Amino acid sequence: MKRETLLYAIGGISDQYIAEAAPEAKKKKKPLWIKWGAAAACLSLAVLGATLLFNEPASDFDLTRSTGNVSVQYVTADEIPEGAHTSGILAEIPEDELFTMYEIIAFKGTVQSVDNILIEFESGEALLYYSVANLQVEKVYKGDIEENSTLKVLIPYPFSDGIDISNNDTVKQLEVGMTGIFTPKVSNPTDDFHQWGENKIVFADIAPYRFTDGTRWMFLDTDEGLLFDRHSYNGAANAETLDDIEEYVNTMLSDE
Amino acid sequence: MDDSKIIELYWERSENAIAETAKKYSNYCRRISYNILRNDEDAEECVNDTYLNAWNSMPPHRPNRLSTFLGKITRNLSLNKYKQYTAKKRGSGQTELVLSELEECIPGATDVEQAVDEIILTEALNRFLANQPQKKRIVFSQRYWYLMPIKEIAEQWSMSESQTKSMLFRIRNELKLHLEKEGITI
Repeated sequence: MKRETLLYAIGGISDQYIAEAAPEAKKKKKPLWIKWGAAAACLSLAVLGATLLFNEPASDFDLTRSTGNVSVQYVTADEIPEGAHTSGILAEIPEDELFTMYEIIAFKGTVQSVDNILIEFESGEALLYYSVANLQVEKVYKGDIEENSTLKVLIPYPFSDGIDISNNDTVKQLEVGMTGIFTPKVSNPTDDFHQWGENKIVFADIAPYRFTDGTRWMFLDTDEGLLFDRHSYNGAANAETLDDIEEYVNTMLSDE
Repeated sequence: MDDSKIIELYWERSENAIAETAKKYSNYCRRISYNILRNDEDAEECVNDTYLNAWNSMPPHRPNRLSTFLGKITRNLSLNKYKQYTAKKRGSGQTELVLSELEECIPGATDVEQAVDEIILTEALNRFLANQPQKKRIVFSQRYWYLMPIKEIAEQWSMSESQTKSMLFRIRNELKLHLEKEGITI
């Protein structure tokens, strides 16, 4: 009976430990040829041939600074396994450092699209599901960026209906057409990368800017009001509109 | 749908609560149950009973994390069902293996100590896990909370099965020492 007691007692451990250990869904690769048809299958075989010939994986991005066996492809939401979205523990950053610790840009913009991507190491030995948002700039607060340009920003999460472990992520509420104020980090090829064994994906090869987590760095104007991490951006805790945020961001940037 | 909205549906006594829960979490719960029972039909039954339990406990409950709230219900229901299994049926799943592994963590009894109740034991486990590096902690929970097969854990962490087994072996030894140090007898 004793061992059963222990098994039941383990059942009550902290939610955090249960959530972080949620199993990844099994890799279910769709047989793409079914979707594309026979002709496309021939083409993909040709691509595969070429890939094998040059000993480099096929990729939807130009991975000039990344090294080793790594590829990045666009994927649809239903190709994302459940549990792919698990966020780690968020390190606290003091409020003023949110504007100074990284080289950031700051702008008001609208979400044009969000596309899921799969970063694959060693032909599927390790998988990372991320997404890329296209944000159209409306007003610039900081950075060498232009109004009306569209910026690509890497998000360290995919978007799917699968299980959502981190309830608090601001980024999960991101929708096409939504307006917000964003302060992403400028992707620096020397610091911003993910390494798996000998293989390295340099994030700047995917997008010039990145959100280092899905909670901070964005202030979203949602149907249910203004959404952002009020805990981290404590000075704006009472903000109700994007205009309030604009004032706050400008103040924080001028204090640098 | 957002968890907070799903919980709101329960509180409003809306039947959509269960449909939305099933849409988002049925696979998660089914996986937990299947690891314990290794039987599709019984796992399905436990998952359905999970929704019923959730319906009966919200309100008054307002869980902070819906996924693990449901997961805990499923795990308990599945373990209860497992108890009803005959010896023959028990042999097929992970549960028997996990139980015999856990036997190694149980500290030897002395005559002065009293057997602790489950809550005190859980608190001791939380203290133990809090001091583990994240990887070890996750591997522990995957094996002993989710009852994941060793092979699956090994695959997820790109380790060999024997590496995974020896990691679990070390964790079990450390857990036993920890429980002994806290004066816990099961």
